[in-house]
Amino acid sequence: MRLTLGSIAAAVALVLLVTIGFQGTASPQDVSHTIRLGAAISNTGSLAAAGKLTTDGYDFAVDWINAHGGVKINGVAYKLAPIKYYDDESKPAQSAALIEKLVTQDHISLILGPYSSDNTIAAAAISSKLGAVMMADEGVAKVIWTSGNKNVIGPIMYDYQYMYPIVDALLAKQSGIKTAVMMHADDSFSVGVAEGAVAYMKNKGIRVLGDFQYPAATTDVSSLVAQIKPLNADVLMSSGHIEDAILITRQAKQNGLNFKALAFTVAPPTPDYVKALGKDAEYVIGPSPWLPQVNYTDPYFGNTQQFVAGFKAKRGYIPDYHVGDAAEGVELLVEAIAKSNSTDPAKVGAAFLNTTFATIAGFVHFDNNWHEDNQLGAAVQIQNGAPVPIWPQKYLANLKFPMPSWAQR
Amino acid sequence: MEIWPQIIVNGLLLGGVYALSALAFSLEWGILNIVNLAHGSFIMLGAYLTWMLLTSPLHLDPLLSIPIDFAVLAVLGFLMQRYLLNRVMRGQFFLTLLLTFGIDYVLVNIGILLWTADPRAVITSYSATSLAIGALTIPYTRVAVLAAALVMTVALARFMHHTRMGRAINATGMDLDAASLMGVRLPIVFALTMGLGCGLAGVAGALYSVNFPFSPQIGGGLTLRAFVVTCLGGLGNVYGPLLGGLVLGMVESVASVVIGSGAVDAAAFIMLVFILALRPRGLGGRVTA
Amino acid sequence: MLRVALPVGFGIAVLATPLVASGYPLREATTILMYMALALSWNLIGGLCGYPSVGNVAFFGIGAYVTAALVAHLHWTLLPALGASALAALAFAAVIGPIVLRLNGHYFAIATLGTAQALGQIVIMVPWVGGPNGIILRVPIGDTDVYYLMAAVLGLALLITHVILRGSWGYACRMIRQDEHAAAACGVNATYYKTACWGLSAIVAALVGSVYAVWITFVNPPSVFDPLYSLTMVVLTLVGGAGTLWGPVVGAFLVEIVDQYLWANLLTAHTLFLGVVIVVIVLFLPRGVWPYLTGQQGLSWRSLFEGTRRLRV
Repeated sequence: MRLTLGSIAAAVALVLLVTIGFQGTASPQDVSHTIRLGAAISNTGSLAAAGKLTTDGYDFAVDWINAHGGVKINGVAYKLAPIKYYDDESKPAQSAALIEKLVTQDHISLILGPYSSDNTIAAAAISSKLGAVMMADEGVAKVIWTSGNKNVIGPIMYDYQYMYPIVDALLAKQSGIKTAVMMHADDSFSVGVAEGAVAYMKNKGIRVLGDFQYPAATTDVSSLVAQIKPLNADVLMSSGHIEDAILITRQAKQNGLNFKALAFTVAPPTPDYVKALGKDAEYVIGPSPWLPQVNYTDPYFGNTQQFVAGFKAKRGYIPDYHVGDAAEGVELLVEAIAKSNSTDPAKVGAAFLNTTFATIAGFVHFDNNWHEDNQLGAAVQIQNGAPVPIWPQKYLANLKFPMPSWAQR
Repeated sequence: MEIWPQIIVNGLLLGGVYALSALAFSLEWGILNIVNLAHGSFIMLGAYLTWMLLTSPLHLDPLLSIPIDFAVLAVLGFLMQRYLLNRVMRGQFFLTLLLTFGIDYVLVNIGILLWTADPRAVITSYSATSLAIGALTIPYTRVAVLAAALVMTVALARFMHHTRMGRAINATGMDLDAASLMGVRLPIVFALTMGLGCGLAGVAGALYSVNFPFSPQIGGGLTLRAFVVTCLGGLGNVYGPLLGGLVLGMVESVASVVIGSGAVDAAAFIMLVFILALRPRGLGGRVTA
Repeated sequence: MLRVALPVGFGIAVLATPLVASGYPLREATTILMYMALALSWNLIGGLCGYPSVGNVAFFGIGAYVTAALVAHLHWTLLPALGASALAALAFAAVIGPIVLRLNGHYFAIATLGTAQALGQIVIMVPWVGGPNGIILRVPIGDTDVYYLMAAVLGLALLITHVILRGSWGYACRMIRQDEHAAAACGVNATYYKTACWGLSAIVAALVGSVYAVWITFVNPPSVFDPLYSLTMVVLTLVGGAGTLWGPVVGAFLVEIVDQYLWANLLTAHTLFLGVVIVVIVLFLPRGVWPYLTGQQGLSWRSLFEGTRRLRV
C-alpha cells in the first residue's frame, strides 16, 4: 500500500471541504431587529405531500406578519426572517440532527416542529435538552408530552381524539348508526387515532365489528375490502394518510363496497384528495382540527376570514387544516414572543404555561405542560368538490346522510 | 366463507400487477445481469407520462398512451445503457447495482421537482368500473393489467425465441464473448435490451396509473416487489415473473384473510426465504452459474 | 512505516475530534463514525466473502431494539445492554445463517433483504416492544460519551477486519469470494469461514444499533429497520473499496461528508446531486476510492478515464 500524491491531494481537498462546508450561519438572534425561526419539513419521504401544505402555511404567516407591522418587543417592531428550513427526510434521526443544527450552529432556538409524530418524538427530546422552544403543531402523539420534555408546545388535539368529532356528528344527526368497521395503517399516528376512535365508539354504544391493520406503504387493499364487505357495517372509519385514503376509496368503489358514511383521517380536507378522486370523493367525511370557515378575531390576521382570503389570493387554494395549523403555530410563537418581550427560549416557553391566546383557531388555552386543553376539533364532508364543515353542532345541518351507494351516483 | 371466491380472484388480479411490474426487471437481470434499482422509478415515469398526456389538451386516454410510454422510456433506457451502464458491464456485478442506485436517486428527485410529492391518480370513465357476477366483483382495469401481463409475457417469449434480435439478446445473456464472436454487436444489443426493459416498465407504469395512486416515491416499493417476484419465479425463464407474480399475489391475498393484513408482507418474505432455501433457483429458474 | 502511521493518525483524529467539535458538528462526526462502522460490518460478509447481504439492517434493528427494551422496560445499565444486544443479533444470525448462506449471490441478496423486511414487519406487531409506537429510552449520557462509544464500536470493527485480513482467514475469505467451489476443492471449509464472518457482521451492526438507540433516544420499526440502511452500507463500502480495511472507512467518510453538505445547503435537490456523485464515482473509480488513493488503479488523471476501459462493452 502506497500513499500517493493523489491521496494527499485528496486528503487536503477533503479537509478544506469539511472546514469550509460546515460553516453554520453563526449570527445570533436580534441582529437588526429580526427574529429567526427554524423549521423541519418533510420534503422527501412518505409525508412530503402534507409537508408542503405545512410550509405554505408557515411562509404565508411570516410574510403576512411582516407586511402588517411585524412583532413588537418592548415597543420596537421586529421582522421575522425567512424561515430556515431543513429536510427531515421523514426520519427521526434526521429530525434530531436538524434540531441540533438549528440550535447549536444556526443559533435559532424557536423552532416549528416536524410533520408527523414519530419525527416529533425524536426532535422534541433534543429540543428540550438544548433548551429550545418547539412548536409541535403537526405532531400529536400523547407520548411527546409525557416524556418529560420541556418547552414543546402542543396547540393541536392529541391523536386519539382525532375522530371524536366525526362520531359526535353522526350520533347527533340521529342517524341510527349501530355498527362500524375501523381500518388503520400501522404507523404510530394512525394506530393512536384508531385506538381512540374504537374506544370512543364503543363508549357511545356503537358496535365495532372489526379493526383491520394494514402496512403503511401498502399498494393494495382489495383483500381487506373483500373481508369488510360481508360485515355490512354502517360506517367505515379509516385512519392513515393521503395515499391510503385515495387507494381505499377507489378500491371501495371498484368492489362495490358501500357504507352510510365513510371517514378518513388527514386526506379529505386536502386539495390532493379531491383532485385525485374527482366525483368519487363526494360525501366522504374527515376530521379537521381547524376549519377555514370559522371566524375568530386574533391580533395578527385580524380575523380568520381575512387569513383565509389572503391565503387564497396568494397561493390559489383555500387553506385546509394543515395550512391553518401551521399558520396558527407561527402566530402562537409570535404572540408568546410579544407577551414575554423576548426571544429567549426559556421566557417564550414560560409564556405559554396556563395561558390563553387568541388565534385564527379561536382561543387556545395551554395547561402547565405546554399542551392545549380546550380544542374540540371539527369535521368536514366533501360536497361538490370542496370540504364543507359538518361539526361543531352549528354546522350539523350541512351533513348529508346517508351516503348514496356507488351505483346510484 | 363466501368471500373465498373474491379472495382467489383478487389474488390472480394482484398477481397480474406483480407480474407486469416484474417482467422488465427479470429481463434486465436475466440477460444483462443488471439488478436495476431504478426499475421502479421507470414505472413511475411511465405513470406520470400517462398522467401528463391525460391532463394535457390532448386528453389522451391512458390505454392509448401505452405505445407512447413504451417508446419514450425505451429511448431513455437505451441511452442510459449505451452511455452509462455499458461502461461497466464487464466489471463486477455490484458496479451496475451502484450505478442504478445513483440513477434512481436522480430520477426520484427530478420527479419531486417536476411534479411535487403530491399523490396523483388517473381517472377515466372506466377506472372504477367492475364486472359483477353474483357477489363477485372483478374490476376491469385490473383485468386489463393481468391481460397485459399475459400478452406481454407471451410476446416477449416469441420475440426472444423466434426473432433474430431476440435470439441475439438471449445469446448475450448466455455467454458474452461467444455471442460477440458470433457477430453480435454487444453495445447495441445491450442498449436495445435495456431499452426493451424500460419500455416494458413504461407500459407497466401506464397500467399502474389507472389502478393506483402514485407519487414520485413509489419506485422503491415496486423495485422491491419486482425483486421478490423475480427470485420467486426464477431467473432465466421468460415465464418466471408471471409464475412468481401469480404465486405472490395469491399468497398475499390468502394470507390477508388467514393471518391478517398487517402480517402479509412478513409472510410473503418468509415464504420467499423458505422457497429459496429449499429450491435455490426459484420456482421456475434454470440452473445458472 | 505508513502501515502504522495511517491507523495511528486516524485514531488520533477520531479521539481528538470532541476536543474541537461540539453540538452539531459533533453529531455529524458521530453519524460519520456510525456509517463507517456499518460499512465495515457489511464489508465482513459482502466485501470479504462476496456474499452481498442486503439485509444487515436486521442486525442493526435488533441491536437498537434489544438495548431500548432492556434499558427502558427492564432498567438495565448501558454496557450489559450492549452486550445482550450483540448476543441477540448473533443468535438471530445463527438461526438465519444456515438458511441463507446456502444461497449464492443474487438469491442471497433477496433472502437477506426479505428477512430484514419480515423482521421489521413482525416487530410492529409485538406490543411488548411498543408495536408501531416504538420505545423511548433515556440514558444519562452526554454527546461526547455517545461519540466515544461509537468510536469504540468502530475501533472494534476495524480490529476484527484487520485480524481477519492479515491471516489465513482473510485468504480463505478471498478464495470464497472468487470461487467458492474451487476454494472447497482446495480444502477450505467455506461454511465455517463465511458463517464466522456473518456472525461478526451481525455483532458489529448490532452494536452500532445499540449506540444509535441510546443516542437518538427513540426507536421504532420504520426507522431502525429501514432497508435504506442496508443499501447505504453496500453503497458506502463499494464506493470506498470492498474487501479492504480502509475502503469502507474512506467510502463512508466521503459519501457522508458530501451528503451532509448537500443536505444542509440544497433543500430540494440534495438527493439528486448525491445520485450524480455516486454515478460519477462508479464511472471513474470503479474499484472504489481507496484502491485509487493507494495507487492500485494507477495515479494520474488519465487513469480516471481509463478506469473503466477494460470494463466496457
